[in-house]
Amino acid sequence: MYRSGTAGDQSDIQPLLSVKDLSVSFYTREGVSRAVNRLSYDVYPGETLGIVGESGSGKSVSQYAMLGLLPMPPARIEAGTALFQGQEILNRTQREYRSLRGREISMIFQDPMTALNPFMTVGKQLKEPLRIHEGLRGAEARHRVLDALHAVGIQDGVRRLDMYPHEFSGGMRQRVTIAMALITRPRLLIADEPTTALDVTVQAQILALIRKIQHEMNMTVTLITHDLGVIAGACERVIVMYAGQIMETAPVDSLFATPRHPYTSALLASLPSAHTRDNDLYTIPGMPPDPMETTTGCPFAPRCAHATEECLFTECTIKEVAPGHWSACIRTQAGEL
Amino acid sequence: MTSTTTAPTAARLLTTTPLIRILDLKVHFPVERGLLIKRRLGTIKAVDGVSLDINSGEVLGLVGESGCGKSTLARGILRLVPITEGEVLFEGNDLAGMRKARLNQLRPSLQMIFQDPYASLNPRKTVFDTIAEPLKVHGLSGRKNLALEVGRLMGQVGLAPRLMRKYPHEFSGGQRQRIAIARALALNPRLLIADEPVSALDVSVQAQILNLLRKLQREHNLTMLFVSHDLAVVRHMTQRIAVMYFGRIVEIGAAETIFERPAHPYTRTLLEAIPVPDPVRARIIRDRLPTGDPPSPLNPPPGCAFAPRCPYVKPACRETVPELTSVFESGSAPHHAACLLHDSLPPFSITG
Repeated sequence: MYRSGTAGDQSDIQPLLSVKDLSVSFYTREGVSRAVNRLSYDVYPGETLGIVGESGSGKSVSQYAMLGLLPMPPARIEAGTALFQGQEILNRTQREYRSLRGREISMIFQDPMTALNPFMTVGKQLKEPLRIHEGLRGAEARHRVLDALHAVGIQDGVRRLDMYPHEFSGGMRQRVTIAMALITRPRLLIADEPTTALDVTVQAQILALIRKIQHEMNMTVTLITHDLGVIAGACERVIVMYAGQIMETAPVDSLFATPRHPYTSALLASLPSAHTRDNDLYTIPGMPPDPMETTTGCPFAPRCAHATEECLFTECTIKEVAPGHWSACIRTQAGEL
Repeated sequence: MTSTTTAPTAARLLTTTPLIRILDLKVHFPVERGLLIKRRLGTIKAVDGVSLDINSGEVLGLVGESGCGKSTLARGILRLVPITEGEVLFEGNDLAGMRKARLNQLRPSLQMIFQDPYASLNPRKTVFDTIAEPLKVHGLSGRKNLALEVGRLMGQVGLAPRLMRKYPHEFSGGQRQRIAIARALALNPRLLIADEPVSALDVSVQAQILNLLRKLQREHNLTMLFVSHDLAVVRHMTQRIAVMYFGRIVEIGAAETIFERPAHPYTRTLLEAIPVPDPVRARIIRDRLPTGDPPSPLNPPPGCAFAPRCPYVKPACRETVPELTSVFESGSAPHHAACLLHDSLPPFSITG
């Protein structure tokens, strides 16, 4: 489902990752917080899929849940399946997750300083996944590490091996975490806000680097970000999340040219641009729903300029409204918007 | 909304006098090692000779990447960091050389809001205490009228006065930034410095806070220094923009001109690196990559600090530190850039 129309006819291509009806909740003293709600999507081999949403939309939690990175309790996977190369990866043992993470699926995070061990040289940290997943040591491992550093644009790798993370700049540190994530040649890279902590010039370099390596290794990338600008430049397809659900998914060009969900339109309209100087920015009234409260109907309806009474009560399911373009808005589906 | 409010006209900018005049301001930090016997390793020149006017009633944008000195400059203006050299003239009085007691008398006129509204609010104080504090300190409101005044300020920033007994953690990020703004406005400041005021907020909340700041700026005819790394936000908010790199202003001019005819290679690099929410344009500019990292502040290059990364660099750039010079008069404001090559750069185009 949710197939892109841009990359030619993909009808006989199997998705690398297929997520269906994933629901994740947190059980706390204050109540049950429903972070991810019946999330379904596919990622196809070689593509870059963007997941965009504001804080609390569930974009990160869904990915952490799949990789066994959420503490359970308080987190609980309520329902759903996630097939990676045909194999179920939800609710596996930590031992199984350890052999999956860093080998088949790697992840990079927003803050490279917390992703690296400050007491270990960069060389040692880079050798670790090779030892764990491939039993590689000594000269052979060192060779692979130098290759990986070279691939991420760190030229003087030999000198850098014995340095500690604090001796690197923010951009260089993120290069190191990318080298570490890719050293085992994973099939899927999940990048969670990989450039949010970086300056714009460094951000452009890191995004280009991910793109280059992706092509060289024929890797698949899921890019999680709050920044619609990053999505536009880096992704082929995009999923827009709100309150734990998918509101809209489409090829990037189609999403930005003709958004087909009022939430996406509202987000785009609230961005400052060259043409907004003389006017106030569009603002979305109200606030996102409290995840502790069960809601009916479309979660965006209370804030939506186009909502009718029906929107508040009708359970919304995502449907294809144009080729490759899916929307959860019942009014769009009915051809009213 | 009418368009009478934001578009700067030549007449308006020419007739205004600077509220703040900064002359050759330097803020240097010593870098030392050792506990008892300190060894001086060097000096970080966070702000190194900045001269700048902030005109009465204008919103001046200050942009640059982390470590360029923009926040230190903002803090230096208010003397929240020790000033090494230079003058900050506020209505003719030099804040930099002023005695603390006199400075404290002027503090009500000079206010600041910060990036992280959670860190800048005291978690043990209610909204009432937070907003009332400056009023009490400066004795501007009688005890009886205090609640009334706090309620009025809350209303002004779009917060319901009935929330005044609540604590910061009971508010969302956007609401907390509203509280910080209400506190900053409590004393009717002349100058408001906003240091990355929306960087920690979600897109939809960011729009609300930007609209609020613009409304208040107009209503109070506030002079604002708007510091941000986000050029789209700065373009929306300001009439003039100053671009900082490595402790110096490298370009300053009318906001639209900075975007349409950037005269400094660093400004061009920045503009090309901003992600734009337009896939077609994004794909055109995404491979024009900036090279290299900013230089080490402990070991600055001779000559232009941008020379090691500059695509147009000439040998002379590595020897001479370029001064800000007038590059052209454009529309509403003089346009200055600190680049030896500003005459010979190719025209700038972001569309391909």
